Amino acid sequence: MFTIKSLSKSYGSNLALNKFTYHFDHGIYALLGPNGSGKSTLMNMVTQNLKPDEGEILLDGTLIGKLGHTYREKLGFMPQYPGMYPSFSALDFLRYMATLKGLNKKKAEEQIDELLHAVELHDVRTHRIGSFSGGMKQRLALAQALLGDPEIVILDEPTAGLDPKQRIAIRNYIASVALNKTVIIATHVVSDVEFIAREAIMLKKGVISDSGSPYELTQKIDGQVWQTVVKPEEVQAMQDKFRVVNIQNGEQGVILRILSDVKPTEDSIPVVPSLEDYYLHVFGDIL
Amino acid sequence: MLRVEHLTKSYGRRVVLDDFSYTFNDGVYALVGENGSGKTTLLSIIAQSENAARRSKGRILLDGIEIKKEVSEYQNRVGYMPQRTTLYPGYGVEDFLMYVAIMKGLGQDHAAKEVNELLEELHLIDVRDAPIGSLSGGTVQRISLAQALIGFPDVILLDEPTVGLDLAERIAALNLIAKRGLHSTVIMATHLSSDIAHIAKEAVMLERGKLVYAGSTENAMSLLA
Amino acid sequence: MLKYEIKKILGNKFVLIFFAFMFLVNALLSYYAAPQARGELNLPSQLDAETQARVDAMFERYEANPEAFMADFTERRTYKEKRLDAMGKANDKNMEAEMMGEEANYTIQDFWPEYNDEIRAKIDEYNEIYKYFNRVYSYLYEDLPAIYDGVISNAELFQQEYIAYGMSADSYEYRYQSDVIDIYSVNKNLPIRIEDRNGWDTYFTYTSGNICLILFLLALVPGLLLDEKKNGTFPIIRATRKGRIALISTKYLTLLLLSAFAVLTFSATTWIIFGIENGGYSSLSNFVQIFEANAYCPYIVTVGEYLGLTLLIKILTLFAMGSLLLTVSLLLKNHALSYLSGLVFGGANFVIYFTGFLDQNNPLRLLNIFTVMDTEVCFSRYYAINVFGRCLQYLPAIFIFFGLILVGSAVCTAVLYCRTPGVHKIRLNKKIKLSIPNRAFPSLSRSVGGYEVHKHMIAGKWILLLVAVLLIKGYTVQTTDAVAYSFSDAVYMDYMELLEGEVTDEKLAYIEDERANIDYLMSAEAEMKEKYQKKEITFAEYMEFQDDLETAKAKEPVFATVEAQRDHLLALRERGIEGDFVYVTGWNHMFTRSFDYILYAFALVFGAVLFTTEYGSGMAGILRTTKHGRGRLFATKYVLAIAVCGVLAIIFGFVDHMKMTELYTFTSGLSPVQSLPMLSEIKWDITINQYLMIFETLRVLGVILLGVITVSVSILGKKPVNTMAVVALTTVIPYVFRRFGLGFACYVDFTTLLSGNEYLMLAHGSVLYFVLFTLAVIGGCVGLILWGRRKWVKV
Repeated sequence: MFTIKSLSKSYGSNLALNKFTYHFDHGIYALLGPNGSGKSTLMNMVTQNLKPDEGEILLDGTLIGKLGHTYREKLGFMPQYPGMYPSFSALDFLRYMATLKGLNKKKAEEQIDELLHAVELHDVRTHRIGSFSGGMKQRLALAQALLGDPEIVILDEPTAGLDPKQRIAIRNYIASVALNKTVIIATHVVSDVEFIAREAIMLKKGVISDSGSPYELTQKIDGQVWQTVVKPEEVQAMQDKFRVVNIQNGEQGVILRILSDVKPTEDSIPVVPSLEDYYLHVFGDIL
Repeated sequence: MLRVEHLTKSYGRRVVLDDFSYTFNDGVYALVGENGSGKTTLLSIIAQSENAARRSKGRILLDGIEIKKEVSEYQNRVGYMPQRTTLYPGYGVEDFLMYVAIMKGLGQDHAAKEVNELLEELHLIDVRDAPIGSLSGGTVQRISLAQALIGFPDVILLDEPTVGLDLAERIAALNLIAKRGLHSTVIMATHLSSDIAHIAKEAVMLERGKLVYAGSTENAMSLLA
Repeated sequence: MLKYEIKKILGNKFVLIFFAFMFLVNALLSYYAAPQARGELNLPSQLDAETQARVDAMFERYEANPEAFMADFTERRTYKEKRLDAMGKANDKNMEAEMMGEEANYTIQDFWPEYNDEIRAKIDEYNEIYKYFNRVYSYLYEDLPAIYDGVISNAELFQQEYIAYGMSADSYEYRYQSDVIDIYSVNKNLPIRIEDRNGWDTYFTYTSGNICLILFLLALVPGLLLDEKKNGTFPIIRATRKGRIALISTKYLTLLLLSAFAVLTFSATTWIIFGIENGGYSSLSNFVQIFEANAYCPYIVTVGEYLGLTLLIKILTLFAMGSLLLTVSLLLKNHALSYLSGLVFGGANFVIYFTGFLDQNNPLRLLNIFTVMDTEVCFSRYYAINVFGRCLQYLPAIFIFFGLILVGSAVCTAVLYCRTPGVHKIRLNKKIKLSIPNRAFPSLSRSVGGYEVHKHMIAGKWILLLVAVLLIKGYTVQTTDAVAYSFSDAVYMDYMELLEGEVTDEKLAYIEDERANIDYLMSAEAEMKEKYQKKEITFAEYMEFQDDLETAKAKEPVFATVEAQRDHLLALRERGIEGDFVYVTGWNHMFTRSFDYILYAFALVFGAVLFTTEYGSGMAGILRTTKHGRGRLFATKYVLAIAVCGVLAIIFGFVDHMKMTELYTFTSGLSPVQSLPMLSEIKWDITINQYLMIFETLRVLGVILLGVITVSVSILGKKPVNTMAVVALTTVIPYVFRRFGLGFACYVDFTTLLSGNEYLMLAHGSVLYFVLFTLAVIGGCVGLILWGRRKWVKV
C-alpha cells in the first residue's frame, strides 16, 4: 500500500506539482499528461532523486525517508532517458545492478537469466552495451528495474523508442509481473496503457484533473467523438472550427475524427471513444 | 510521382537495402519495420543526403526523370527531416528557419512569409526568438519538421517525426503532415502504431532491407503484432 | 563492487589514452633527464666499463677485508701526499733557480729519497682507481662530520645570540636550534657503510614526473562521479540499496588505487631508465646520507625507507588532491568546468612553484602540490613550522595538512553525492533572450557566405577565440625580451660599421692589417715581458701593452668571424656572385624563427570545426538536400577558412616583424641574399629584402594550406577531435622527431613550410626534396579538396 499525500514541488515561481495525493494498491497505474505536466517531477520524488517542498510518501504506513535503504530495496526504477555503461556487457550491467541492490548472488543469476529472456536480450547478453540500439538499451533498463522483484516499480516512458512488436511484448510482460506489485507508468503513449492499467491519473499542470479506470474515463465523453468525410479544401475550415484529432485520406474524401459535444456536420457519425480521445479531450487545447 | 527501382545499398558486406522497388503517389506513406530494417537508409537515399546515397544501386525517378540527372532541380522539390538532429543550438528558431529557406533558394520576402506560417501551424510563435539549444526535445523536433516543409516540397521525407512529442503535440504535427500529404508525397518512417493508424493511406514494411509488405494499414498493423 | 569501478574506468577511452600518453611523456622526460642528472649534482661522469670493473673489484676487496684494505689505502694516500709535498718543494727551488739564471734541475728524490718506481705505481693506481674510494671515504670521515659540526656550532651561536637578545629558551626559534643540534648530533654518529654509492641520488633529482602524475589525475577525476550523471546511469544506481554510501566509498578506494598505481608505474619506469643510463643502483639498506645530495637529511632513514616515504607522500598528495577535485566536480556539476578548474588549480600551483614565489622558509609552500610531491622540501634539511611555540616538522605537517584536506573533502563529497537534491535539471519552456542578438547583422543574413560568417564567427562565437588569440599574441610579443646585447655583438657591430657594403680592396687590406696587428700583440707577450724585466720599457708602457693585448684577445674571436665572413664573400666571388659585408645578427634571428605555435593551433582548431559542426548536429543531412547546400556551401566554407587563416597569419607576421625590428638592427636590405653566410646556398639572384618577402609569404601560405588541409580532412573525419589528431600527427610528428635528434625527418616536416626559411634552405640544398615535397603538399591539398568535394558535393 503506497500512499502519496499532498506532494508539492516548485521551481522558482513555477509550481510543477501541486498537492498531489493518491493511494496505490497492487496493479498498474498509468500517469498521463504532456511534457511539463509534472510526471517526471513526481517520479523523481518517489525515487528520492528529488526533495519535495511539502508532502509525504508512505509505504505501508511508514514514511519512506525513515525507511532509508529498506525502501530502496523494494524499489525498481526506470528513468526517462536511461543511461548505462557503454563498455559493460548486458550481463555485466545486470550483475552490477544486482550487487548494488544487495541481492543474493545465486538468486540474482536466476532472475537475470529470466529477465534477459523476457526482454529478448538473452542472445546478446555478452555484447557491449555501447553496440546496442536505443530500443535494446530501453529493454535492458526495464530489466534492471524489475531485478530483485521490487514491490514498487516506477517506469518513466518505458516504451519510447521501441517498435510495435517490442512494445506489445513489453506491455504484456509488465502486465504479467504486475500482479503483486505496484507499477506506476508515466507516459503519453496512451495506447500502451489503455488495456493494462487498472487506473489512469490525468496530470494537468501539476494537478490531478481526473482519475479512474480507463472505462470510466472514456464513458465521460461517450457521444462526443465523431467521424465525418469532407473534401480536401474543407479540411482547414473544419480544423479552425472543431477539435480535429485525426486526418486521413480515404477513397471518398478526407476522413476526419472530431471531438465535439455537438454534431459537427450533417453526415457525421458517432464513434466509440478511446482513452486517447479522452486524453485529447483533457489536454488537446492546441487542436 | 516518385518511383524507386531496384534500390540496393550495402555498407561493406552488410546489406542494408535489398532490391527495393516501389511507386509513391500523393499521400502519406508510413514506412515501418524494426530498428535496423533500412528505413533511415531508404529515406536518406531518396533525399540524396549524406553518403548513404553514394554507391547505391538502382534508380529513383521523380515524375519520370531520374534524379541523378537533374540533381539541383530535384533538390528544389525535396524536404527532408532526419532523425534526432540537434540543429544549431545557438540560432534562434525563426533565424534558423530563415537560414534553411535561403539555402533552399527562396527569396527573402517569400521565405519570411512561409516561415511565419509554419511557426503558426506548429505552435512555435511563442519561441520564435529563443535559441534552439534552450528548448525541449519535443520543440526541437517540431522545428526540424518545420524546416522539412519549407518551400512546399513535392516529396517530403520524415524520419520518426513524432518521437518525443506528447500526444497533443503529436496529433497537431500529424494533422499538418496529413494536410501536406493531400498535395505531396509524404514518406514517414515511424514505429508508432498510432501514427500509422492515424494518417497513413498505405504502409510500406521493410525487413532487413527487403520490402515485405505494402498495402493497407490495418493489415500492416496485424502483421506487426 | 570494486571490480565494477575498475571496469568503468577501463571502459573510459579518454582516461586510458591519457594515462598511456602521460606514461610515455614521463618515460621520455626521464630519458631526457637521465644523462643530465649527474651534471646537476656535479657528479663526475660515468666511467667506462673497464675502469668501472676495476673500481668494483676494489670495493669488493674492501668489503672482504676492511682492515687490510684500509691499511693499504692509507699507505697509498700518504705516499701521494708525500710526493706532492716533495714535488712542490722541487718546483719552488727550480723557479728560484730560473729567476736567478741558474740551472733548474731539482727532482722529487732530492726531497724524498725513498721514492721509487714501486711507489710511483702505487700512487698511479691510487690516482686511477683508489681515488673513487677516497671520494666516499673522505666524504664520510672528513666532509660529513665537518658539515654537521658546522651546522651544530651555527645553531649554538644562534642560541647564544637569542639569549643575548633576551629571548627565552622556550621560544620557537630557540627550540628550533635545539632540534637542529639534537638531530645533527645523531647524524654525526650514523654508521654509514662505505660503498660505491650510485644511482639513487640522481634518481631522486627527477621531479618532472610529478607534472605527468598531476595531469593524469586532473584528467581522471572529473569523470569519476560526473560520467554517471552524464550517461544517465546516476538515477538508476542511486535508487538501489548500496547506491549511496557504499558506492561513494568504493569510488574513493578506486581513486586511491589508481593514484598508487600511477605513482608506482611512473616511478618504476623512471627508475629503470635512470638505472640503465647511470649504471645501476647501490644498496637500499645504507643510510641515505651516504649521498652528498642528502647530507643534510634530518631523518635517520635508509635509502629504501627514503624511497618508500617519497612514494607514500606522492600517493597521499595525489589522493588528497583527487578528493578535493571530486568535491569541486560535484559542486560544478559539469565536465568541462571541472577539467577547467582542475587546470586552473594545477596551473596556479605550478606557477607559484616554478617562479619560486614562496621562498624557502615560508611554510605555505607545504600547500603547493608540486613542492610537496618533489618531497625534497621535507628531506633536504631540517624545516619546521611554528605551532604555538613548538616545532612541527615538515614531514608530519604534510601528512596532517593533506590528511585534513582528504578527510574534509571526502566528507563533503559523500554528503553532496548522497543527499537528495532540491533542484532537478528539467528543461523549462521559458523564453530566454540571447546575449548576442542574432539580428545584429541583418544585412549579413542574406547570402550563403554571410550566413557562414554568422554561423561560425558569431553564433559559434569563434570571433571570441580570434580576439583571444590576438591578445595572447600581443602579450607574448610584449614580454619577449631582447637577447641581451653581448659585448661580442657590440664589437661585431663596430667592425661591420666600418666594413659594411661592397667588398673593396681597401676593406680587404684593412682586414689583413687588423689581423697582423692582433697576431703581433698576441705573440709579443713574452718579448714585452722580457723587455720589462730588463727594464728596457717603463711600467706604464708595459701596462699599456697589456691593455692592448687584453683588447685584442677579446676582439680576436669576433674578428675571426669577420674573417670567416670575408672568406665566405671571396668564395662567393669565385661563384660569380658579388656579395656585401652585412651585419648578420638581426637577419640571423629573423630567419631562424620557428613556426608560430599559436597560429598552428588556431588553424588546426578552426579548420576542424567548419564541417564537423554540420555533421555533429545532423544539419549535414539537411543542408545537402538544399539548393545551395552542396557546391556553394562547400566553396564558401573553404573561402572562410582561407580568409580567416590568411588574415590572422598576415597580422601575426606583421606583429612579429615589428617586434623584430624593435629588438634588432637590420641593415643592408638591398644586398644580395647570399651575403648572409647562412643563406649562401640560395640559388636565386635576389636581395635580402626580396628574400624576406618570400619568407613572410611562405609563412602565411603555410598557415593557409594547413587550414585547407584540416578542412578537407574534417569532411572525411566528420569529428573535430579525429581530424585534429590526424592533421597534427602528420604535420607535427616529423618536427618532434627532429627535436629528438632524428634530423632526416626534416624532409617530411610540414612545419618547415610554416617556418619559411627551413623550407627554402632545404629546397636549395636538395632540389629533389623541393620538387617532391612541394608536389606532395600541393598535390595533397588539391587531392584532399577534390576528395572532400566528392564526399560532400557529389551524389
